[in-house]
Amino acid sequence: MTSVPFLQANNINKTLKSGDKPLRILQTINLEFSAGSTNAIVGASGSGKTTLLGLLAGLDLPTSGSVVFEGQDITQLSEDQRAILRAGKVAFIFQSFQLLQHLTAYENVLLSLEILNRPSARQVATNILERVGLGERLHHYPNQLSGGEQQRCAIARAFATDPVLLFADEPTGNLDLNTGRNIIELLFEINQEKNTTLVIATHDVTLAERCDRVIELSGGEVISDSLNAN
Amino acid sequence: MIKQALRFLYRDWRAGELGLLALALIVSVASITTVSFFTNRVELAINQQSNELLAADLVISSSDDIQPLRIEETKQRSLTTSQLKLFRSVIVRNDQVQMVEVKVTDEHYPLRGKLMVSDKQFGAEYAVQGKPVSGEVWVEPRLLQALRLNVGDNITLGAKTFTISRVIEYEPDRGGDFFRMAPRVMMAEDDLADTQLIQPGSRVNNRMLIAGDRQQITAYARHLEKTQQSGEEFISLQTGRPEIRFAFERADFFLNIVALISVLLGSIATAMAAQRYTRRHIDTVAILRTNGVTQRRIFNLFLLEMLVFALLVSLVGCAIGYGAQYFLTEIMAELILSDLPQPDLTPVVVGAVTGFIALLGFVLPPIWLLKKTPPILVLRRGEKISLFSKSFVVIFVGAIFVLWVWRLGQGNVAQYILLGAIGTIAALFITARLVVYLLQPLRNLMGVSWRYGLANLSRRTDLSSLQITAFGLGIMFIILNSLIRTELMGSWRASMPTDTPNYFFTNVQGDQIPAVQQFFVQHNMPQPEFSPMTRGRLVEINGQAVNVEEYEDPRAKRLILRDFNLSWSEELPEGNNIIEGRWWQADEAGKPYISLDPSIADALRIKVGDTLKFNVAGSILELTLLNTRGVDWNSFRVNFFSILPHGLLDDFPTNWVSSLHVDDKNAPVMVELVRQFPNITIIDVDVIISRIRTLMDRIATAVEYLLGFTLIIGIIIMLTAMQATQDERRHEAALLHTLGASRKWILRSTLAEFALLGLVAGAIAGIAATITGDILATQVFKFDFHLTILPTVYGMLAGLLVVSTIGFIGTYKVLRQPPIDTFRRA
Repeated sequence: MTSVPFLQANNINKTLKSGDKPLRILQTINLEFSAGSTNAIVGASGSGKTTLLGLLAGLDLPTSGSVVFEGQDITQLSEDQRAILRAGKVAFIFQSFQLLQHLTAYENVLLSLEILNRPSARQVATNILERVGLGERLHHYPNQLSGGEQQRCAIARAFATDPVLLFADEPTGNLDLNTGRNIIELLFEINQEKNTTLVIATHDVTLAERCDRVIELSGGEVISDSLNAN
Repeated sequence: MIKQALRFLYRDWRAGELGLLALALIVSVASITTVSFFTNRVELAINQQSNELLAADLVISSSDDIQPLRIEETKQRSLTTSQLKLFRSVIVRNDQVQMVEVKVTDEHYPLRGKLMVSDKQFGAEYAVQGKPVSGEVWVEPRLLQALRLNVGDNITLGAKTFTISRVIEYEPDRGGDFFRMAPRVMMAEDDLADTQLIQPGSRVNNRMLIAGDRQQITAYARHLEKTQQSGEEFISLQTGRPEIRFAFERADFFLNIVALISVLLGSIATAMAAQRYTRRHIDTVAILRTNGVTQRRIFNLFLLEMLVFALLVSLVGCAIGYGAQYFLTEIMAELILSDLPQPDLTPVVVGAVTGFIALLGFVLPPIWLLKKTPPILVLRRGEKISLFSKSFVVIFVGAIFVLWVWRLGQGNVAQYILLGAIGTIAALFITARLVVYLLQPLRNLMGVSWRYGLANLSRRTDLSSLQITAFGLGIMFIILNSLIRTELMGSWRASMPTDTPNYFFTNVQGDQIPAVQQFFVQHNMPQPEFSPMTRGRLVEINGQAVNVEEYEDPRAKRLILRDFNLSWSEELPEGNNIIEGRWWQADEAGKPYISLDPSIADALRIKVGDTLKFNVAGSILELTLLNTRGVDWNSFRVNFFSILPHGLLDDFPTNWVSSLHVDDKNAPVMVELVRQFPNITIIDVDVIISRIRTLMDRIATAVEYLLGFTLIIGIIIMLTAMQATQDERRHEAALLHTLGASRKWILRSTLAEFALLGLVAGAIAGIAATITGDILATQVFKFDFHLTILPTVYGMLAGLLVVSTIGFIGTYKVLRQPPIDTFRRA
């Protein structure tokens, strides 16, 4: 674990309006993430895990407080400016895979490279799909793949652009136990190869245990923040 | 229950669930009521003002002089009368020859309605009765403009010179523009002899206008029917003016077809919107059923809601139709009649019935299935239930058929057109599907935006093909319309050889022929060949009296009501060919034979060998049909439908006619010809063609205007399709954002999808229009049509522009979806 903090959450609060009353989702969150670290955010449903992930990734803005990524306060940027900042540096893995159903596995990976105008996109896409074990299924559509294969494809898509920061929201949530284990293995293997910073929101204890650090949320507040012994 | 249904309606409307369904129904109703309001006004004008349209209560029309017997009868019955003669002639002014339609009147004209005149062009109008003073004429402003004349100037008509004393502003029995090839000149009966225009065999329409109280008129009309003489035609308030009614019925039929094509597409839009509407009510029905509401009650609730809805949208559609018909009237009415009365409520009924048929055929079937939604769906959300059944297709096609037959009648033509329209839609849909399928392999050859757009297009094959079909159909009709209007008309004229006759001469007397031919020799021009012509009325076929009621074909009706132009010839005329039977031999002069154009024989259902009895100037001739004979009408030579052997009609009054090609440089010679032979009528073919062109232009403009509805329906279908995919698009936009795509990138790839859609629709439309144009040119107009790629290019450009714009407007909001929503979807 390195000590350079490259992602920081400073005093972030998130309040939503629900009818007449404001609904507090997150309260005074202060967190620092260093480059190359692996972090798990755990907590019960409704504890604010996904909201925190979205704010850290700059997909949404906090009601107050700031998020600083590589020294830049991203809460001061417009939606498009944040998109530009994210492009190529930040990637996502979702619980429900979020593959585009009308594109093949290969095209799904290719698309994320082409959006960024990456050179040799076709070769990179093929290589990474082979790396996740989908070399034989390049031209299959998502509905022709199993749940595990779809998540492998999503992992390939996430790592294809060599991001420095990867957010994963319940990546094993839609998978059976065994497949979930395999996906976790794959995720950490590639993460080690690429030295990516990982922030994972999860219920999965096994997954949380594999991370360097576990942050626990409850009622929108951080109730514990501990380092794993391994 | 009614209260509850109204509450349902209010909530659905507020939630925006009914917007597109309303739009689809409104445009369908508006398109049919636009036509309906217009035709209703014309029909009312024909019915209500028919005595004004006749300028009388009853008219006897004849190609011969009105019989003294008739004049005597009207006197005895104390009926008011006025006598008119109508014929075409030419006037000469400086070096210009202008065809005119002469009306010779007496002091009683008009008996009904008002003749409006003014003392100068654009001067104050006032009503007059009677005839111009001897030596003077009244003319239409059109003539003054054509020859740059003013009131007070002189014109020569036949052998007499007249002074123009008044301008005719409105003539009650004039009909519309369509019936008037040339401007009107009115003169007094006293001057007719001096003009020497009427010679034996000249074509003149003699009319006796009759007016009186209703009982007298009815009695006299009955008497006339019983004592009808050869050549006499009666026009009463009941029969109206047949030529106006005929033109009106044609226009009514044609415009209704264009409107029904919009309704046909509108039904597809309605059915699509109805599917979406019912799908979004599955939860409502599941909850109602969980709460113990019976299926019957659920259906009745929705039925009531939809009935009120249909009534409301039909009324809005009618209101739009009423507004839109003003433009149609502006374009079309002058052709048939002007000064139309306000419509009655019939078009509103037409609109409401259309709305209800659309509702019954396209909206209620899915609601019928909706009521069966199982209550367990409340627990098992997301489970798909089918709101489609094969019987819908039967109901759908049945509803369209009912609408079609109701508006157009059961005639074969209407059914062929319906089949053609459905066939075209099916062909467009299949082609669209095929093209979308064939484009798929191109994905890997394209840039990323295009690839993404194409992938989007092919994943929703049916929806994409439907959108392509709807736009394709609209664009195809517009291209086809303009092809007919410009290319076909232009190419038709251009396809004629340069020496195609461009002048016709009629009313030439037999004893004038040598002098006229000598005239042409003197001017170093080719000598025209003259053909004889006399008139005869068909009275019997194979011993049976002909009865107009027995024929459905409008052409057959006209043939029976009017005189035939009978010519005679020893030789088979140049450019004619025998289809069936044989031509007569030289030694068969005077034999009672006849040769007919096959289309006439078909219309009258007669075969070679049948006998026909004609009344020619009071003599009865019984003739055997010896052959049918094809005629090339495009040659612009003098052609005849009916030819008899030579030596049979020699003693009858004869009008000699001819046609000739006259170079532009020789045009002034025509002026000289009229000066020397004032009774000869010269008809300039170019003038006639330009009149036909104007007429076609007007019709094309009206059709183009109505096609606007088709395009609007295309837009509605596209919006409905986009609404169906909105959730999907919204989610994808959010996902692409998280992958780092900028809004511009997403917009570009979405536009690529719509651009492809528009290009494919335009290309299919352009190709289909070109092929149809080619078929029309070769099969209907009978000339070679040069296929070009231009219509297809225009189609593609139009498709690209229109579809991209609508796609952009429809999806712009969706593309702004914040990326955080990606996490919110399980």
